[in-house]
Amino acid sequence: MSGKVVSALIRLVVNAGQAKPAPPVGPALGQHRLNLMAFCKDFNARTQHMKPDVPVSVTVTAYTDSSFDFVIKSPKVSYFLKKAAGLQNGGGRAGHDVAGVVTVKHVYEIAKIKQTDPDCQYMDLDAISKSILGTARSMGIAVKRDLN
Amino acid sequence: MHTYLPRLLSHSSRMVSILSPSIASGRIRRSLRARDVTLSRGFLHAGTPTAGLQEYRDNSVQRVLGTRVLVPNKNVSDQMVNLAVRLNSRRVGRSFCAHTTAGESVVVKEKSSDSEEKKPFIMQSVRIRCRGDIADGLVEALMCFGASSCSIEDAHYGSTNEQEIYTDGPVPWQTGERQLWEESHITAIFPEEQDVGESIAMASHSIGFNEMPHYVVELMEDQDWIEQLQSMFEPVEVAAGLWIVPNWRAPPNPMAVNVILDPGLAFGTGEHPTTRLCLQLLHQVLRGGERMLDYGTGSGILSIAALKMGASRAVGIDIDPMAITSARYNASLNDLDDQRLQVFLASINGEDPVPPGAAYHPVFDNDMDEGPDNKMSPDFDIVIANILLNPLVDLASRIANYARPGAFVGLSGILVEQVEQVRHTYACYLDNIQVTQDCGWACVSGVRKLS
Repeated sequence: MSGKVVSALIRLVVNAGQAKPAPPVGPALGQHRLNLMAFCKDFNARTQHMKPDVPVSVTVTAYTDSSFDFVIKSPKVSYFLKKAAGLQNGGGRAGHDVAGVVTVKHVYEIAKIKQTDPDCQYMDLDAISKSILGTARSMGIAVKRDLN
Repeated sequence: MHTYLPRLLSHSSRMVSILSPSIASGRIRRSLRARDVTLSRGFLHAGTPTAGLQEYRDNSVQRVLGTRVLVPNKNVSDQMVNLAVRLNSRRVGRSFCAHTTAGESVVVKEKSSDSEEKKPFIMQSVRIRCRGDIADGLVEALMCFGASSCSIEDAHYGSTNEQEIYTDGPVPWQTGERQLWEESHITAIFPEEQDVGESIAMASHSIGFNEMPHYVVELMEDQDWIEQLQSMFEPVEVAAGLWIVPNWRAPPNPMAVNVILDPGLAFGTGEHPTTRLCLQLLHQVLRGGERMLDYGTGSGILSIAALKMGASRAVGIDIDPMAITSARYNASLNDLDDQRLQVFLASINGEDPVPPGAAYHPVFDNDMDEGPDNKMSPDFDIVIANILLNPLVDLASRIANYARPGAFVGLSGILVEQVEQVRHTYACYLDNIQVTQDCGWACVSGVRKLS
């Protein structure tokens, strides 16, 4: 068989660009003897395209030789839409009331972040944007050309 | 919430929770008189009221946070009072205080003589055993119900039933569908104040699993994983004749240039490709006597290495106060005082952290240039910034202007795919831009333009 032997799979959430050897990263990875500095540097460098307070989901694959790989997933589209519209919760009456408003530019920027996600990598920006528009509609968030 | 409690609870007995350090559990058991009481760690599984210590594969006994006790219904409060009184006896040399809280629970705390002592950061580490096919789903659910992180391992690791799983790269993102091992151990880390039992119950329930999995709670302190981190640090030769050595080891080559480090929690142990790239750049351009600026100093590794390779002064900047302490301490480990390495904390509001004249020694440097309105601009011969893409781009003019015309500038902490953006941003400040690479990381260097 090729490849390395997996010793553990670790799941955690870290804010983009802000991994430090402190909790939650420290205990989660330190327990498995992984190089915390290397993870933090790598994670921070790879999340530079996101704003600093975005909570990113990470899955780290730790190998028996103490090396590791990881994949990251940005938060759900609903999280970004809520932030862009300045909302705490999505709308209760989608299709009837408008809970919040975002612009086309917001949708584009969210699409750019989502494009780096593992399951969206082969979709083009157009397709991702359409999907985001659908989510916005289901949340009762209106999309306008610009905010006037 | 109590649907999962076992039916063995008859109406003649009641469940009382006692929160105590495990060191008190023997005494609790004796105080409450064993035959009336069932002590267990973690959770009472239906049909098996057993007392006992959980042993791990290495035969160590784990400390436990919570103890649940079944007591006869009558006189519960009297029994709790008796418990408190007995625990306060000083026979064994440690005293405990106990008090009942609202509802039926008793909190037992070790009386500490020094009430002002600093509380270590404590988390709860919970070990749950479950079938391999539900491990993934359970982890996702636990993350929703308060776990700050979870890991999945082979439950049979270290035994003859160990199962080896191979993979060619990171396990891809497929929540809920993958099964790695037949039986798994999940280690979930929760904050100190979280009710672990409740979180686990809710998580299990949410994945349609009505039985509570078997779990054990252990308290984990800061020290545990910090020590883990430090124990992995080995001496490393980053360039010909230049070694980075942890301060608890002797340098393997006493004749080489050895940078002694105790990194603590600040970045920079010498193993990272970007550190290597920057050190190689320094090794190449240093002639002796230069003034160096280290933007993003971390443990101070680049400044200290530069000073040991002949630079006359170094100024280190970082946004993390821990880095400031770490860099100063490491400088002292290498016999470098304040005059040779100065460190400044960069504030969040973005003001320039380097005071005017910092590049110069107040007495010995005669070539200080006073600019307009008597302000001395920092003039460094070498500027290194090993940080991240965003600050490199946002602070480009500040970083470039620390360098005197003709000075060397090195920029790193970037991935190869981020090089173009950095090159583009610094093109107006630097001539002769070159790029070096190591394991997917890059360093962009150049010479500061004349004006």
